[in-house]
Amino acid sequence: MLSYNFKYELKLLLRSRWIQLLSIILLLLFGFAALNGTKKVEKRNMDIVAAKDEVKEDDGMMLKLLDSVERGLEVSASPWTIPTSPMAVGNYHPRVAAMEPQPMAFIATGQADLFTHYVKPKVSGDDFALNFTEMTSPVQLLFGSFDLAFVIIYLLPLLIIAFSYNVLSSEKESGSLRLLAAQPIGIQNWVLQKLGLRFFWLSVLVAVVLIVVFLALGINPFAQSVTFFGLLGLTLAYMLFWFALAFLVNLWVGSSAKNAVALLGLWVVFVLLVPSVLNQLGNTLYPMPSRTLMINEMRGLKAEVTKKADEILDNYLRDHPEYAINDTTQTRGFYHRYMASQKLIKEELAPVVNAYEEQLQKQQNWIGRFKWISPAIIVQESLNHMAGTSTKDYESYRKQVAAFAHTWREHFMPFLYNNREFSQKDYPDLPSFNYEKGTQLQLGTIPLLFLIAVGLFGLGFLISKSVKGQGILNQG
Amino acid sequence: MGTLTLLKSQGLSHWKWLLGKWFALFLPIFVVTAALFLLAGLLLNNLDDFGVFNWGSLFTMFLVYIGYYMIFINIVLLISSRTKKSGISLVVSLSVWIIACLAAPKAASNIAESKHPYPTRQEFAANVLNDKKEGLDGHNPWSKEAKLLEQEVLKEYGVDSLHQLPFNFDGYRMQKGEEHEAQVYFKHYNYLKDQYSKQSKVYRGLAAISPYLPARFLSMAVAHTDYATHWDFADAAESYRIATQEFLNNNFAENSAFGEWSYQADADTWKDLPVFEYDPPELKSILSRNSSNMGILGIWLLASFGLLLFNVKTI
Repeated sequence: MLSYNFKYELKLLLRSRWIQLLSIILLLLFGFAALNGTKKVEKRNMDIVAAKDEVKEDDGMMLKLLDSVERGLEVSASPWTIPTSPMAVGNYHPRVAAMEPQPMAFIATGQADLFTHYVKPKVSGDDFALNFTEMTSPVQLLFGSFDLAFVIIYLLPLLIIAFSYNVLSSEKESGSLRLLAAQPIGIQNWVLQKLGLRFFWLSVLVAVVLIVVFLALGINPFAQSVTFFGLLGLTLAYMLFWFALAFLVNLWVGSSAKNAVALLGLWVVFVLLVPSVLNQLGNTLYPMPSRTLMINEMRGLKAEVTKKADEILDNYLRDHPEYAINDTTQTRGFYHRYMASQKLIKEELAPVVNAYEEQLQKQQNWIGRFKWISPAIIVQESLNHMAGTSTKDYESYRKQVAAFAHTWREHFMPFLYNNREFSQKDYPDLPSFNYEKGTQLQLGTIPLLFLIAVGLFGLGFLISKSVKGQGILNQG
Repeated sequence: MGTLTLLKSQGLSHWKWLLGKWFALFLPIFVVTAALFLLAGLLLNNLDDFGVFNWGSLFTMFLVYIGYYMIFINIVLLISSRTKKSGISLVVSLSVWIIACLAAPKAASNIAESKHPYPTRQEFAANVLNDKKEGLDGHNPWSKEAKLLEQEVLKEYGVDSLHQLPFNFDGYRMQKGEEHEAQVYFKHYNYLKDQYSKQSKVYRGLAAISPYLPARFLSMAVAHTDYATHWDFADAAESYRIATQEFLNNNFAENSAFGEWSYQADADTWKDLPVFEYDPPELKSILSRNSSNMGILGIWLLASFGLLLFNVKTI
């Protein structure tokens, strides 16, 4: 019976042009989405490269200037920007701390449109004054991006619904169901086989389309085989979930129109409603502290600290006897006081900054706890992870930058407090930033999604068997 | 189930049939929407700390949404009259909704961004910094521009040292530097506005396949939560900043001697400090600013009605 079903379903699908139509739609959607994604990644790469080139060029000028100064020539730069001063190097020649895109970054925009992908931390200024938000028109943020994640999470289920809402009901409506019932196969089995075949063909189409789109955009899917098969597996698991829902609805609900409305209702709940309600609740339960208040607090603190700069410097030197001993000239300038007070400000403001990070963490935990209500959230999260654009990735990047800013600052402290000049031979020792992907690829969600889908199929079997007395034939 | 043929045999004209179906869809939606808007209006009007509430705006928004719903009713009826099965009609209507409300806005946002991109934050900051460097820095008396300004002012007043000027030159220079910076910011923010207005054109172009876009932009504008209102506020804040700086610098220039950095103004000075006043744009100006969106929504309304009427003759 399976082989008959297989043969005639395929014939039916081909005759009704479903397969042809689906291939074209999938190709268009996946192609457009992947193209958008690659464009974004390209721009991101170009911005980073441009920034790095600029620093390289700038470094060349700095070295020339250093060379001139070391040879005792007169230079025309403003006195406080001459790179023999370590603070001038630390402030006017910052390094680029860039977050390079992951190889699969184009599959999900995630938070890539919210955050900037490179910053240049300086010795002066604070870590929290480093602005990580990107300049985007808010309308752009409102509508979001047409990326692969959008196609997979939002549009693919709709295609599945259109593809499978009337598997049983159309037979009922055209009267051929009674004919089928005369065949030696249970109705559940028959619906299952029919849906299974559709799932099989759609999976084949999706896999082929993904490979074609990847190759067309010049990305070798097998170079990143783990991520690629992760993507494929996740997509198939998510598709299976929707086919399982279609199975349940086909068995329980009556006419084609009712089936379609029921499935669409489920789509709205799982894809639109649950994610936005969870997000809204997270925001209401754990509101972000006001940035304006934080800045006000920071300014007040700075004004206070500036008044006590001398005292602070004394305390600082007491804590760092190595600088006090090595210092022979005993000259203390603006930067000696400034850098010492910066440290104090940083320590004092830590609770305010931490409050922000804590709230963010709480929101994340909140969503993490309830994400299993909707597979759409799980899939979105996993895709963001694969793309390296998830909340966690940007959090890790921010932390790495903060650590680098600290390294950068500390690198110049011995120069500053020992009143040592920066020279050409110190140039190669300047610290540089290397972004390391902070999150591991988690593929554990894929088998779980499969399990949920299989569970739903099982549920359909059990319950429809128990109501068998009523008879599917007599419904509707 | 063939009831349409039955109805026709009763001598029912296409017109009456269409009118009946149309009102059967429209009336419940109209009643529910009107009731909800009325309720919202009454609630908001009676909240003490709600802020600005305007019945006119609420009514405008109501009209926008009613127009928007009419468009969808027309489209649904059009599809329904053209398809043979209710299931297919549902799937086609659904596809129209997906394209118009989900896919088109996102696609529009992608196209607008790749055609007219915003600079990155760092680029923007670097450009501002470069332009600032080109001109006078009010806090750097040693720069070339500062020396130039000094010569100019000395010549103008016919004196040979800054001490002889009738005002504190430090304050004057700071004000001039401020004016230069304000110009730089004006230029660069204008560039952003320019990019955005170009992006808006893309959105308007794609509104041809999506009535969702003009409806969304209109309702945001009426609610004062759109980008244009934000710019309006930001501009007001910027001119307030400029006025405050001018007041402070001029006060310093007029009341202190050259080199008197320890000058402190008396308490009464602050009474004259400009006050920030902001009036959000009136409904009228919002509507005239969004005339193109209203026009597009109007075209959608007329075109969908037209198609429906044209189509009904051929059922």
